[in-house]
Amino acid sequence: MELINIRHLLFFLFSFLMIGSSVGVILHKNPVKAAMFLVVFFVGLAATYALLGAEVLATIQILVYVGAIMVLFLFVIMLIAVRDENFDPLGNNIGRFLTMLFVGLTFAGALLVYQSSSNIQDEIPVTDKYSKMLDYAKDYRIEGNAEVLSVELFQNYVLPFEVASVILLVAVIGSIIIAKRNRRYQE
Amino acid sequence: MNADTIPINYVLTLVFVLFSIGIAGVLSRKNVIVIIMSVEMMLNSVNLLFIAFARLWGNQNGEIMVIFVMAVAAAEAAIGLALVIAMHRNFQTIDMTEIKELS
Repeated sequence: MELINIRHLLFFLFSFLMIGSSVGVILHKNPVKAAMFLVVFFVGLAATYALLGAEVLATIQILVYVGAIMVLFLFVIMLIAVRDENFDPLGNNIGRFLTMLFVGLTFAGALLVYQSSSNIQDEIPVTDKYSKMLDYAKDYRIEGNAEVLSVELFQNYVLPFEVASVILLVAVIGSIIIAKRNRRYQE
Repeated sequence: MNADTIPINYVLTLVFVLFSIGIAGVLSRKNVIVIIMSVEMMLNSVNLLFIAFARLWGNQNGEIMVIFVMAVAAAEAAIGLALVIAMHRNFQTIDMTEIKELS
């Protein structure tokens, strides 16, 4: 009889939190409460990132999603004054129900096939030092997640990094132009 | 049951379940904002799989990919919500089933 494994216990706790809140997102009638469930989902996901040893990405997840994207969602929901959605129960629409049943069975079958066919018994070493995994980490004597990520990002991925900044600029300008009131057609 | 590891099997099952819930949300809802939220859930569940395999194989390229996925997801959310505002201005509704014309 071994002791309770604290990492597995936390992983199951955050897993149930995420599954429950995502079911809340797709089933709640009020979009504001669905957005609140989505905040719980993002926080649980950030906790799981930290549990897997990616602390920097957990921080970025909280900053970007909970701080920026959810504020944008709530701003749009408040701006256009969404009413409650009176969607049918799932059993009433037989085509929609069959589609979702098909999707669920397809994913369950893919999961079973993958688990039976590949070497899936691997364990994620969440506490290993980076100097054991990466050659340059041993050379430069770096250990932290932020140092490893910055070395990768600014040595091997400089061009995609710049392209990502251009994509964000294009998205900002495009969303302003799309959301702007078009005076020519409003007369 | 080593105390310092998490089986990849657990993470894989969790990601499959979350991605299926996201697809179910896209297929079953009529509100455009909730559909965009479901797409965000699907993108985030794939990010979790990237991080799990990056740690498993000792190769940090997966975590770099997560950063780029986050950037593209932020751009997608901004454009999508601007489209929702334009749709609400022109049609006075954000119900997907009531939009029947292209103009």
